[in-house]
Amino acid sequence: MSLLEIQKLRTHIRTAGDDARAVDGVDLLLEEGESVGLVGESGSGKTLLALSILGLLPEGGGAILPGSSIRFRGEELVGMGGKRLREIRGGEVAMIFQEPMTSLNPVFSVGNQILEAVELHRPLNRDAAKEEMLRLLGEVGIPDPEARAGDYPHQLSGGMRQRAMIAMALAGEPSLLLADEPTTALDVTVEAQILQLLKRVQARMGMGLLLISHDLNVVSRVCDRILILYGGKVVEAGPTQKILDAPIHPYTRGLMGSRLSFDDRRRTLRPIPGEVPEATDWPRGCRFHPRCPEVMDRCRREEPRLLPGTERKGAVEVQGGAPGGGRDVRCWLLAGEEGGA
Amino acid sequence: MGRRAGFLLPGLPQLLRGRVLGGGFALFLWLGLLTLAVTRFDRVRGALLGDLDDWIALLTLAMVLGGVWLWSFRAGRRSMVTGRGSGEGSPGALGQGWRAFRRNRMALLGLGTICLFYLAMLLTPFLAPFEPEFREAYEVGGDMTRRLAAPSSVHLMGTDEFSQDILSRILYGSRISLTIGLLAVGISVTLGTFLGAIAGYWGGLVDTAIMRLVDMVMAFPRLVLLIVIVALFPTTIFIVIVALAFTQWPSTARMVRGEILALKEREFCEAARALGFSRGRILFRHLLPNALGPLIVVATLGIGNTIVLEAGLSFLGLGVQAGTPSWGSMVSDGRDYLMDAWWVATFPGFAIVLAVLAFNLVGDGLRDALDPRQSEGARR
Ligand SMILES: Nc1ncnc2c1ncn2[C@@H]1O[C@H](COP(=O)(O)OP(=O)(O)OP(=O)(O)O)[C@@H](O)[C@H]1O
Ligand SMILES: [Mg+2]
Repeated sequence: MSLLEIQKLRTHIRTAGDDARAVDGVDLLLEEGESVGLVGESGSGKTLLALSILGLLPEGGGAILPGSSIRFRGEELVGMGGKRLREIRGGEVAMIFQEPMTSLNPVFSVGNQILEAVELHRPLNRDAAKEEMLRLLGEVGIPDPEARAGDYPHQLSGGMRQRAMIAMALAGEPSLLLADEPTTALDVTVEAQILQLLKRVQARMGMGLLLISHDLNVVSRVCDRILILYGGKVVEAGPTQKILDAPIHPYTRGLMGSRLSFDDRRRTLRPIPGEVPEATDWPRGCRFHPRCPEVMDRCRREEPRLLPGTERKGAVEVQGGAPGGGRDVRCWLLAGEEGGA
Repeated sequence: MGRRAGFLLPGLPQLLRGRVLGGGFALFLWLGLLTLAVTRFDRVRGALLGDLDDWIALLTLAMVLGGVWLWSFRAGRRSMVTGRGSGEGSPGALGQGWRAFRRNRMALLGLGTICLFYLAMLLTPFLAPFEPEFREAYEVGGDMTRRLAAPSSVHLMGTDEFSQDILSRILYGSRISLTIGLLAVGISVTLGTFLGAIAGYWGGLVDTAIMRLVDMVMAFPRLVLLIVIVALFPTTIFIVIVALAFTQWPSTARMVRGEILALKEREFCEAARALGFSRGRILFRHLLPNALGPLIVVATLGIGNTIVLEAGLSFLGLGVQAGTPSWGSMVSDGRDYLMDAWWVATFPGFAIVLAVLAFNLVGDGLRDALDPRQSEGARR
């Protein structure tokens, strides 16, 4: 039994016009202790996917469509509600958010907020809970926990706030942590520290980690496997190293081109032209085709399926790898796949 | 040396260290109350055998004297350790607000006035020179010259048409005016906060139902609604309070609903949901404390407002029963004599103005300190 098994997840949002098909048929498997990265540009549906897991859809119109399934250790989360769902939230599955500036309640001290989370999910008395709160502050690398516990969010730097958020998420000793762009609002050095911290606590607690980012670099530093999301669909998925070494989907290649890496300063920044379309009107055929540099006629007509693959059709730069290789790609360029129609 | 002075004269060490307002107020309170206790010693002693009012007054006297002394002593000791005054240590939103509030002289003046008003109300049995309905002695003795007597050393604010001492009646009347303000606002703010919070957080049908009710109540001019309610029921203090509260809560509900609507979109609300807190807990423990600033402002301004309204009701003869002294009814009683005995209506009117002004000063000061958004809007 996997830790998290998402099948055919479709999360739509009702709007004034057409529904926004923000997450549109995503499969995702996450084993115990594994870390999976979810990468995609703004608007590709990353946040909504994570929120769907916890049943935290936007009020007034967010809905997981029938036929979707999200199983946590075999337990179906779609349609779950009430007490059991609240136990899972923050208990077995915790989430940290993008904005450390605003994800903490401004009128309570950070110590108080962590303490409240500890008391909610752990059967500890007041003193033990307090001790645990201080331990958590230390665990996430906040120096001098006793003094910092009394600080209010506005007194802490962005990095310290994100550490406090992580401490809150760890309060319930979760076995799965959803981290939605936890470092996007932070500067590069702090980002590296936070990523290291996530990696460390993940290893120590044997947690599963779903790390969301728009930055392939960030995810590749932490995760075992990567899913590339575009237009609410997975366009490429596979082990981190394979994807970095040999990206197949033009979108993945675009993301690689638009990333700035430390070790390769000569590579010039080549952003992907255009923008992610609105989730209310995805283009016909392949959702990426209007921006794709290698677009073919077929892409405009038919939508490709997600299929195992190791090579690009007619490509020489990608070689080897066992057939299958744990890699899935959604592209007509995929070699050995002709019968999609 | 400062510490020893603090033993005898609380506030003096603070005064010497340059904290003029706090120290001065403490010293003033301490000396004033001591003087009262000494000059009215027989009454204070008699209070031991007296009724509830006397006991309340006695307790107030003891607690304020003790409190001032303790504050001065402990603040003095703390400032020796840290070199700073008290209240510097709380960095929360309210702590910050208090520091901003302290810089506002007018608001502090208002706060001091309010404290003195309520202190005087509680100490009325010791302070009032006469009983509120003390007139028999004059009328039985045939001394009709005390009727509508001008302010003098015996009657500091003069007497009314029944030879009753105005100062005493203002003091006794403060119980009605000040308590009704406090209670009515307490009820209305509690009710308004509860309903407004639920409407804002739950939305949908609940929201619609509550807000239509709000619209309905607010559709009538407040005074008209008050008069109708008070006219429908036998006028007791209880009814007056309920009527005032019932006509006040909608504005609080509207304000709180707006706050909650904005707050629930903030990311920390979603973070709290992701941590598994229940909706009720998120609303009342996580969101509502964020609206505390504006709530305090609304409540403070509301008290001033309510005092005026109650006075208005009493003036119209719709307030508490005739005979019971209340500022509004005293003004009403005096209006016939404005030409020849100006003091009858003027002094109680002055009390109303002063109390309302004090509450408004404090309310505005709190708004500047706790609710920067609104005061920015007001300045623009
Ligand atoms: N509350 C909402 N109401 C309407 N549409 C929404 C809402 N939330 C998200 N969407 C739409 O769903 C799509 C996916 O949004 P989502 O927030 O999941 O993207 P994301 O990948 O997390 O982007 P980002 O990197 O900006 O966080 C977007 O097109 C967005 O417009
Ligand atoms: Mg997002």
